Amino acid sequence: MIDALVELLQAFSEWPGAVVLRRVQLVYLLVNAAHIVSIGLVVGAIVSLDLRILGAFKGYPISVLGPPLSRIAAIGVVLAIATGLMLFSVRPIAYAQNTAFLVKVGLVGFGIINAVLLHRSRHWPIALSGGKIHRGVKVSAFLSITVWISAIIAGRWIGFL
Amino acid sequence: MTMNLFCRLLSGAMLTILVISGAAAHHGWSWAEADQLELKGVVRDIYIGPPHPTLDVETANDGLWRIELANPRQTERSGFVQGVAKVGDEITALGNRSSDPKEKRMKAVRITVGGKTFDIYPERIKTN
Repeated sequence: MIDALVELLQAFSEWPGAVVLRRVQLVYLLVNAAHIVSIGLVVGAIVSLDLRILGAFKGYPISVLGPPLSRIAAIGVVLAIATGLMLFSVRPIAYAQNTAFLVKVGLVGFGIINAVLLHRSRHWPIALSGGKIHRGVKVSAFLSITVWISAIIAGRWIGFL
Repeated sequence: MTMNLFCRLLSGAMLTILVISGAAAHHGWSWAEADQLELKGVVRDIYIGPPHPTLDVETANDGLWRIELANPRQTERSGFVQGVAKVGDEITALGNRSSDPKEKRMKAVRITVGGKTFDIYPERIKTN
């Protein structure tokens, strides 16, 4: 089981993209920057929307802010995962043993599940149409801010272990 | 009331990030002792490339040590490139160890392997 996983990670570290990332520093630097930009999209958009849900910027309707901010955050998550996988492929086995990395992956997973559950909740369309913001929606927004910022802290921690 | 709580939460998180980024890991020398020491052992793992080149060295009587090198470009400039050392090679590392006595981690200024010397941080090598 563990052997199979190590083999898989080893194979991932040998794909041509990983080889280029290890050898050409400019490529690594650009992918690294793209990863940061993606994270910026996620946090910038989602924290704004979460704060609106929690009662800030009341003059701007959720029906207007919600769809574009959710979409930007979702695009950011997809790009962050794509660029993150590329960075991961440079040293997969080392990262897989890094506690901060594992915590970060768990937090990102939790953040995505939280967002999906909110979008599926029957309270979300009500909040989107300007109706009452259910307590569950607020809890989800609070979790969202906490989880995404924690994911960034865990991610930053990777290099310190 | 809730806004106030979130402002506090946010500023708390930001402060945490600032504190963490202030304490540089393999960057800088603040985490390492001022005195240099020499470590001898066998290479168990070698990684040259971004984000940070490292060596794992098995010493005779002090277990496995993590040797941090300079950033990829500077490590390359010292001549310590892919293929210069491999797993199983006898290696000597001169450098500054972590100021945490429990942590077997050193930032190398000079690596000697296969009769060749690589000055990673030439200006920091203390000659006595």
